Amino acid sequence: MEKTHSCKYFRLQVDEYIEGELTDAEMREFEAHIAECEDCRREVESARRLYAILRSSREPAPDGLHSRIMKAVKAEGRSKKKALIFRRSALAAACFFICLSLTIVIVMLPMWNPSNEGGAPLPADPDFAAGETQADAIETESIAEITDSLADFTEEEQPEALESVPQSSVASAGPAISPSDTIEETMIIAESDTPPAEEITSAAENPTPPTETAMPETIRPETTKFYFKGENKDSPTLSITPSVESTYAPGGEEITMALLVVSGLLAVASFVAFLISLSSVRNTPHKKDKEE
Amino acid sequence: MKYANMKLEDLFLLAKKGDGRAFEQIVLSTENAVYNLALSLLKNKEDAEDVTQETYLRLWRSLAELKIESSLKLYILKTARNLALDLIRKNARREDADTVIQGTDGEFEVDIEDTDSSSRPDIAYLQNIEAKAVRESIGELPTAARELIILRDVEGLSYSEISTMLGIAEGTLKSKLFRARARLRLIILSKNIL
Repeated sequence: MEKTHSCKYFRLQVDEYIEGELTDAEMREFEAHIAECEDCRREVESARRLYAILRSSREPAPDGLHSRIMKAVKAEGRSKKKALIFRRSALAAACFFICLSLTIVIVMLPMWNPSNEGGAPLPADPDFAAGETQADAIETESIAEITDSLADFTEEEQPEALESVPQSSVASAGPAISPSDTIEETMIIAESDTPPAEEITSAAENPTPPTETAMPETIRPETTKFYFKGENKDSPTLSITPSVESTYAPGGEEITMALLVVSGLLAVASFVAFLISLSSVRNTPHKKDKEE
Repeated sequence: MKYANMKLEDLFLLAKKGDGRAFEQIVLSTENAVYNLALSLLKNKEDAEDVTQETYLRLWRSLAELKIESSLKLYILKTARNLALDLIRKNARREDADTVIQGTDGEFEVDIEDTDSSSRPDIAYLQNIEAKAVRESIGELPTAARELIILRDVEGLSYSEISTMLGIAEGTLKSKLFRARARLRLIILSKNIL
């Protein structure tokens, strides 16, 4: 058969032929050539053997290299986990202490009231503090107003004013006021609802159950009644009951309790998150599991 | 779960999720190839071991963010190659590093007719000692030629994978590989290995 190509041409194709990268036409031509050319055929056979030896001539990795690699990888993983644990723990601890601090502040805040004397914890309510002396102020003012108004009358007028009152009503009101009585002698006699000491002691020894309408004693207002001398005590001229105001602003107590609960819950939640972060990183993914 | 039968890409997905056994299987499947490539470039077993270890450490560190679009084995071999070249530069063997990078090492002309089979010993009787002798012969090749022989004929990478890894065209790659193989045959003949 006449060679269309030289052996040099086909020997350049030996590798591609062995690797199967020739086209169908090229492969037919190559196989036709080596069927007739012994040298080229031996070249192909030698190349096949060489490639087979090359594929099996892989240098094996030294003993211990694999374990050395895995030790280094695990050490790398441990350091990453330590950094992760530190970051998570620091964050959880910071949240915990912030919430704890808020809780302490909210609890301690009502106790810190510089205007409170006597030791009993009371909210800083200026209205209440003013209310304690309110009765005294009212009494003082009331006395002052009344004495002033009385002072407006002359000494001669006073008996006239009284004389204008029907004698019967005056008589029923009690002992008549003598014109000779001075203003001080006709001074208002103030009484309050606070029972006398004897009655208080008796009440303490024999406490009566509070009625439904009874108010707590701590906020029970004292009604102050003002009488003219000799006036019927059942119908006092002036009766003053100071208004009782709550020691807290409207709704303030509820808000404080809500803040306290929220802060406490956040503190607990952050502490639980801290414990979870510690336990999660202890579950090493590199644990050797038994093969199925 | 039998990790030994899984594909590298499937093992890679498991390893990304934190499966240490999957990562270990990746190492088992590729460490020989990585070691051989590193040894072919560095010609020093201790350096080749260090490069192999560092290759997998880098893979481990970048596992979470890594996205492999083609072949995981190719990515690992490319990492090992870069580390080996860095070590060559560091060892101040700049000439060797440049020739390997440029692929100019091993540029030689081989006359095909010089390999006439009638004067060449028959290699049909190569046995276990032949493999060792062939490895020694590979070690005598220039670095670039040695790398091509290892990647194509020893590790079995495709032409497209090698061209991607080395950054050269497939035609150029085939031409270089042809010359490397021819030179290897000459060395084998000269040693009378057959």
